[in-house]
Amino acid sequence: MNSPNSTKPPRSTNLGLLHLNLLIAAILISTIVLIYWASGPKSRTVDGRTEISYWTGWGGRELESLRKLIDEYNRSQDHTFVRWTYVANDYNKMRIAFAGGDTPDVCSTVWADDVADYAERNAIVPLDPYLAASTRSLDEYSTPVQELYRYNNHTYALSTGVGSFFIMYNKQAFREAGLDPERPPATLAEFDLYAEKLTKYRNDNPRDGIQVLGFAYIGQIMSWASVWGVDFWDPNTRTVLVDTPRMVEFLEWLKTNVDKYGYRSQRGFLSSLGNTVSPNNPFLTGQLTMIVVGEWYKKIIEMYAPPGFEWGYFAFPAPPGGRANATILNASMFTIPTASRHKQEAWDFIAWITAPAQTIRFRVGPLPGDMAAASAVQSDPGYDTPYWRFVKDLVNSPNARGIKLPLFNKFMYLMNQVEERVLSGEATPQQALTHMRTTFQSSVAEVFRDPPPTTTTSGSQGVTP
Amino acid sequence: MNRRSADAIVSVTGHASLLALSIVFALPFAWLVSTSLKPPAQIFSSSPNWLPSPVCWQNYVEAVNTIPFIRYAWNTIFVALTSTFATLFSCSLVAYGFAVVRWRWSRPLFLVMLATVMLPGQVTMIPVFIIFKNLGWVGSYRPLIIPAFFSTAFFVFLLMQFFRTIPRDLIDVARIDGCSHFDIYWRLVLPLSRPALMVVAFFTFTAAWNDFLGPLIYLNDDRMYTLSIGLQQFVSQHAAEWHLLMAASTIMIVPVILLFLFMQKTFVEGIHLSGLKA
Repeated sequence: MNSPNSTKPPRSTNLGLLHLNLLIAAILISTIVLIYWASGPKSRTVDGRTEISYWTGWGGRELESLRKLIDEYNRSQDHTFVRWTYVANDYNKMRIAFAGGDTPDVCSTVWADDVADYAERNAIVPLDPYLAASTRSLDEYSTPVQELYRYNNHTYALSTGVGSFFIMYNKQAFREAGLDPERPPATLAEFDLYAEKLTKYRNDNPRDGIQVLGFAYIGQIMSWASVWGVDFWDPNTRTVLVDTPRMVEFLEWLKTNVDKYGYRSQRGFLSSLGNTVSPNNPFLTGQLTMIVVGEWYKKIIEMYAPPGFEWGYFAFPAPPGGRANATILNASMFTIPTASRHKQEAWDFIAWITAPAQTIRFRVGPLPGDMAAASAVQSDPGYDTPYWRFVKDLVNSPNARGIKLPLFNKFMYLMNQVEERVLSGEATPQQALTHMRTTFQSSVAEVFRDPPPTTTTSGSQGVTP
Repeated sequence: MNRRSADAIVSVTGHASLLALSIVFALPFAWLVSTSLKPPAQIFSSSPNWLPSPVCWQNYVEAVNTIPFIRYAWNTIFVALTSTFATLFSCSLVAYGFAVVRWRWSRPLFLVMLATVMLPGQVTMIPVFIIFKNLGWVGSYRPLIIPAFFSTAFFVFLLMQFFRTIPRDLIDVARIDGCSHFDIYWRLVLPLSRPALMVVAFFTFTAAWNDFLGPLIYLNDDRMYTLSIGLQQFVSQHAAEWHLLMAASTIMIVPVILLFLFMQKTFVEGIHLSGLKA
């Protein structure tokens, strides 16, 4: 039993408590100090110049090249200092920054596919007033490239390069299948026939599975839909346009071709293929004979193709009434977020970095890997080869266009669902498209309650050069 | 066959199976180290070579010099250590409150806390970003460190399991001797829970060390970047400097391996005793 005196802690306990309190105080103080230190560097030494933040997604050699150009720009400036930040090339940081309203002054971490969405949300500013007041002009670019930069009659972006999609084929496989390797398919009917001839099964028995696939029809819905003449979006009425007889016709063609090889069997085969950026690339190993690629694929071939690998290329063959020489354009776009505090300085930097003189150094170099956006740079001797002339014609073709619609990720998710449901036989093309249209349209109505930017000036408010 | 021979056969086959499994698990690491020492042309040669020829130690030098590796390493150490310290302190304190102290709302609040485990990070990512932005913390290490001071439900649960194995009598005796709850937590429960704390420390440290998305979202200055983002700089849009990436990755995982080796005994004990194994 405790005596009344026993409630008083002994001296050693008091000392222990004192030590403990001191320890806790020390921990708290050091935590506060650490948290203060965690705020990181406050600013750079910029000699009083206006510092603008620039986010880039280019890494590796591209970042090295870009870094040199930015250093050069900073040396030439007595007013502006560009502080670049590498934000990894998946551009997710940019999406979160826009959603959270904490963006840099200028960025090239926006895909062309996302421009319409950001423009509709008033997250990026139109560049037209800046362009008008500068020595730069959209006339430096071909009409399709100009259109890529524009949405709803406003220019929202510029770029140094422009990407396109087309088809590459394995010449040796053509030869083995009795096809002329120098004459790729010219019509869609011919293309389907070639794909059949080039497909091989294990033990020559379709039940044993695919060994070589002439062409993977799965997963290319946007490119093919564009070739078939489908438009995706009307910005003036904010209406999705894919639920049309033409789209139904296209999906029926797609399903007919996929059914030839079996949907499940084809899915299984495609999921077993190796990484594109490696020698296990299925095109280089001969598992896929014709593939949809971008112009940058040439570099992959140069790096990883086995000796003597022969390849050719051609534009998507169009069906009757479709679009010849069609392609979908894309690019890493230089844009100015609405939250930018230094829009004029941001524009000055964009105008400089996307100008032909810089683009030549960034894009072309000794071995071009991408097609430059500016027409003047496209005429550079570095592009004077049959391959690059083909890419150039494709990029500047009247049927080259970018995908410009808001909620692009949602749209793509629903389009992939349409493909999946139709090809697996879960729904008819019409059923799948009606469901897609209804779902997408209700999402658009939910997100964008204001009238489209064409009927309002909100998109350009506060933007003065 | 006598019993001794049967035991020997079981033992040999058991060890052989474990060895084979160990090799399977070690292969990716061996390939990583091997690739880090290869010249670029040899990395994807059509016949895979395990042994680099010639051995390119230069890859390591180049990897460290291509990106500000030392700076990124210090930043990573800072974030990982502070997060680990904060998690250990906060989770053990909360776990003590739930496991040892008897109070009225303990059970419902525990369930509320557990419910947070079920919320995927993607759901909370943007709201949390907006909160940090409004606090003015974006662009600093604070969003990466301070949340650790508010405990993590999973580790609280893990530590609770361990704390409950401590004999109640021991705690009652301490109470009778005049110890406050904080005293019992600090002087009795924590020293007895070393293995479980080591598990939490190891998991937190490796998670913070390897975290990519957190630093990517919250840091806006490349000078503050951690190694996981730094390594991405070897990857361009359509290609990668694999030899440098592998060399830098090898250096990056060395501390985690060393940490595991030093803590192995305590770590395994902690996993066993906290019921994590089940």
